[in-house]
Amino acid sequence: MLELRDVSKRFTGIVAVDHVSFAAQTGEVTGYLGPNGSGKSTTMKMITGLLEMTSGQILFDGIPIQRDLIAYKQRMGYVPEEPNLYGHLSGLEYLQMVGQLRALPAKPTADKIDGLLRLFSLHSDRHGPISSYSKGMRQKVLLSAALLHNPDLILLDEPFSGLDVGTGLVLRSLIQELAARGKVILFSSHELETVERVSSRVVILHRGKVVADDSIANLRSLMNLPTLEGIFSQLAVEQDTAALSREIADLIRA
Amino acid sequence: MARIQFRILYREFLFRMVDLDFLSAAAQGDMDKLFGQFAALFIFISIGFAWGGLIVGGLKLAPETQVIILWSAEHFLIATTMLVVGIFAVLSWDSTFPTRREVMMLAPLPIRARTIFLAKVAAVATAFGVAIVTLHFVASITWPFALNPDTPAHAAPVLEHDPATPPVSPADLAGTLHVGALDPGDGLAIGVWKQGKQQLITYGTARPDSIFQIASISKTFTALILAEMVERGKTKLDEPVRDLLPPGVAAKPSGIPGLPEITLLDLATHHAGLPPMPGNLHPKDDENPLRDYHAADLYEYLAKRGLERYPHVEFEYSNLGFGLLGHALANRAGTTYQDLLERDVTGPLGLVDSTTSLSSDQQRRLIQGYNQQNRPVPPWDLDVLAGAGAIYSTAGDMIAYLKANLHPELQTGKDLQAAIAGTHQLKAVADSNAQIALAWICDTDTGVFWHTGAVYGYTSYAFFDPKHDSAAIVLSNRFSNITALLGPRIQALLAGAPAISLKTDLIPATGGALHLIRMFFVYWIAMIAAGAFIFCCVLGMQGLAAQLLPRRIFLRISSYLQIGAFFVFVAVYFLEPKIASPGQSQPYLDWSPTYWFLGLFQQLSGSPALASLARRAWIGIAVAFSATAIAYVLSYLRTMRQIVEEPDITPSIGSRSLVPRFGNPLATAIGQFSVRTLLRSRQHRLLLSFYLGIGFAATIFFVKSPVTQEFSEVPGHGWDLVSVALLGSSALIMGLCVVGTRVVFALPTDLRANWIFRILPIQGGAACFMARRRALYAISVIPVLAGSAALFLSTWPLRAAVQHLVVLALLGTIVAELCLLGTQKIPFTCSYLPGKSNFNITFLISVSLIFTALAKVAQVERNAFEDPFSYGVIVVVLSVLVIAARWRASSVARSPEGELQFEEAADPAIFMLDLHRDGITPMPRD
Repeated sequence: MLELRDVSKRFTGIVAVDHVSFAAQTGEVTGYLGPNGSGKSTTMKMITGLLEMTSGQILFDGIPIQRDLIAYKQRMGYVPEEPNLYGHLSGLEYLQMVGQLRALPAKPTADKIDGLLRLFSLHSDRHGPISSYSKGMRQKVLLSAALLHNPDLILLDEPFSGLDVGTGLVLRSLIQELAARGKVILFSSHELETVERVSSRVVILHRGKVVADDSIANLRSLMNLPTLEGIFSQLAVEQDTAALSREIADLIRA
Repeated sequence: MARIQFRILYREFLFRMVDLDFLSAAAQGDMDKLFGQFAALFIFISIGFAWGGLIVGGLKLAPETQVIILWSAEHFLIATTMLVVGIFAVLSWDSTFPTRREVMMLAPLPIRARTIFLAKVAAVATAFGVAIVTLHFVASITWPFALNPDTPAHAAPVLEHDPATPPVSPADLAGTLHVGALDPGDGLAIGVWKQGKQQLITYGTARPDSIFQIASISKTFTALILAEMVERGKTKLDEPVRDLLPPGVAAKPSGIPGLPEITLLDLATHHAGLPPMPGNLHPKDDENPLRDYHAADLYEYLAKRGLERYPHVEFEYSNLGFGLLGHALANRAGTTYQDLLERDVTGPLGLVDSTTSLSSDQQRRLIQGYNQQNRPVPPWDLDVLAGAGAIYSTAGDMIAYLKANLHPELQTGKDLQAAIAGTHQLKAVADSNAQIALAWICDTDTGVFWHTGAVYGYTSYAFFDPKHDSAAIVLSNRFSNITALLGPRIQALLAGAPAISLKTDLIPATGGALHLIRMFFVYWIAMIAAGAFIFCCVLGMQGLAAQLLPRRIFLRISSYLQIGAFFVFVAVYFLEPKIASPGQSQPYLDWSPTYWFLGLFQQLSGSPALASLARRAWIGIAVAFSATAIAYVLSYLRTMRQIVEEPDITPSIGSRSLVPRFGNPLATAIGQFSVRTLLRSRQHRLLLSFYLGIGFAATIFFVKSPVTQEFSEVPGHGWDLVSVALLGSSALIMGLCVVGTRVVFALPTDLRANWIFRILPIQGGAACFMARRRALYAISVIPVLAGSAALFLSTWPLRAAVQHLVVLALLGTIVAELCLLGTQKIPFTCSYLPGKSNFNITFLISVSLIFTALAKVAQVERNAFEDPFSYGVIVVVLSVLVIAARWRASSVARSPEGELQFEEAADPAIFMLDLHRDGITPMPRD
């Protein structure tokens, strides 16, 4: 189980994450939602260990992650929001490098990489430089790199970005399958419909604070709203979206 | 609208001309600052130029010398301009034609392709203009003054070449010598011998039997006497000269233990460290300065100076040395120099008119000598220093003497045969292009042995060419450069090579305000033309390659072309020979663009000199401009379409990995990542090439500099010799390669992608340090060591090669370990703080200052090859340093400071919040 206890992050004078607490259970997919600038990515970076928190604790299976960050990283897989990869390496070389850096056994890893490349339809382009890959292809490389070591904790930041419909459907099932196999999955996305379908539970962040943390079914009945989109709009969207869109259309016409 | 679009695109293209990341991380996003840095650099160079102009302007020289100094200065300015503009063109390689990114970005916008291209061309032209103006802005103030001295019109030799012609004919020489070359009273006797055919040619007052003083060519006779006495067992080459002098002349050296004495060989090769003339020479008669210098004066000088041979003595031409040698040999033989000469050389060779003491008949045939001012002067009386230049001879005698040198086997007497051959054995280095045997100087390239002679009334030039079985003597009764001009010409003609022309040009008078204004414009036009030529050459080559080759192939070879152009510019600049004298044989001038523009400079300033080179400059400009224009037109017609049609996925990098493993998985991952980044990142390759290019230039300087010549006791510069130059330069290359690689490691390839290293379970410490160390060794130390091994094992004796490779490996290890000290980073992943490059430039400058120290260390190393104990001490000392450096580097890695770093400075909060511009990596600034 991944647990955040009173986690805060302050940058000089600015509170980016404010006493955030929630837990992502083993075998569950936890959706992590919030509008732009809500502190979502900052939280993700703290969970990956990229960023140190100002206060609070992050625990994985009851152990603070900072206690043995290396051991924690060995059990974690992460798909970042931006597909930033080394463009001069080929997809195959990148995955091999990740395998080596994780000190995975050579032969089984090579087979696993080969299998992942085939399943993600990247095999024919595996020797091409990543700089020439499309966004979807890069996303597939990122997913392969995150899953290569069979992690217990999987952090997915916008994993559907750029994927074609078919691969998106596969990934959706894959997330559920992995959860069913006992993984902890924290899944952040702006595609509320997908989150609704995949996640059993959601945490909604607004202005650095948790404004909702419950199962989708409970939120629906509590807020008396039929969809996650409605719940999200109620909790985290302050603008009158219809008025805003009218204003934009008027501005273009002027 | 097109005009506004043009202006916006022009500004964007102009400010992105130079590869920003490569030059300065500090200037990223701040184009004005970058331009300011560039301008400051160029103006700094311009101030250096201007300073040179002040120095040259202050020189007061004779017109003949002045013309060479001014040509050399003009050539230096042109060559440096071409180098700087060439490197500027190389740096702006990716900005001179529309790129894929620009096309993909601009194509969807309503902009005509023509506007894009015109903006590009205008930006490229402006960038060139700004570069050339800033480079010469300050210099153009002083140089027109320096290039406009008050000099009357005068004749200067043309630096042209006549085609190879059949052996020297009287007509060939007469045709040119008639054109005012000979003054009344002048006499010239030329003797030529080639493969059994002999001819004597005389001009002016000279007759075939005219006697001239051959002056310093006498030294070759003295050397032959020495060789004969060695053959007969009367002395040895390594015998101290003190033993041949009367007892008590000079005390046995005892001041500094182990300091050797001057030997006969040292005297015969100008390696005794003696000055050209004795310090206690105070001539009573300036026209005959040695007349009153006698044995007592010589002994007084030697008693004061002593006969120690100081260490590391280089070639120093000494009349005193040869005079002393002749005197010492006569002492040993118990006779006079003249008798010895007659007994050992002129008698056996039948040279009846070669003597230091003229009979009355010979006195009558002695041709009157004239000095530079055309005044009659007497020959020199040399008395005790006779061995340095007292001999008189005729062209006929000298040809017989040179024939004997060509064919010693035809002489009677084994001792004489062996002695003549002995005087041809190369003993030491004379200068960068010549070695010295006993008195004879041997040209390294042609194998020709030569010697010149000059006193105030006579000049002479003698050579023999064993390769072509030819020889000649040129004797003149006038102190001028006529023999120095004719000698090499005849030598080239006899060898069937193009020979320097004897024609002269009338250099017009300079000076005055009008000519000054003209020189100002000439200066600017010549520099702009030279710069534009090289700039267009780069653009034309790049543009035509892009159009003629399939686009994918071009993209692959583009960066190699760029690096190749860079190396060619650096190599040509440093390797190109310079004008040393008007008579120097320089057929390469025709093929050197820098000399073409020197010709253009002359043409524009109204001088007829070097007209053929100026013609080549105009043709060169026309070709380069046309190639560039064609490249842009083709690019306009084809590039947009080519880029849009280009498939999105570029072909595979390579299906099989050729990069080796580096040990454990972590080391392999970091090592392979480093090698692949260096191989595939144009920016990093270029930066490393830049360092290696500077290292290459420093090595050339080092090899050619006097500090290495000084130590070259073994003659020659061949690869097969264990020379100080090769020992030192291999160490220099090793050091620069390791430091260059370390600098390149510090420059990140893509900071946004380094998150992968951060979220993976890697920590600093020993394992990571080992991975960095192996990557550095694999890219720098091992390739240099492998290259050195291939060279030295194939050319040097096995033992010396192995010994040096061990030392080189230890040195490389020390430098590499020192480079690994400091913050622990994975290569190419840590952000880069600006200002570091300043440190590296400081380092390179200091490298150039330690040449002498490096040469001395290399000398110590070479001496130690012969002495196992000394070599053992060197290896032990270096090994201790290696162990200390490795221990220090490893202990830093293990300490808390050894944690992996990805930022040179902590991220400012604003970047942590991801508030920076999309797609732009936050970069720390000053």
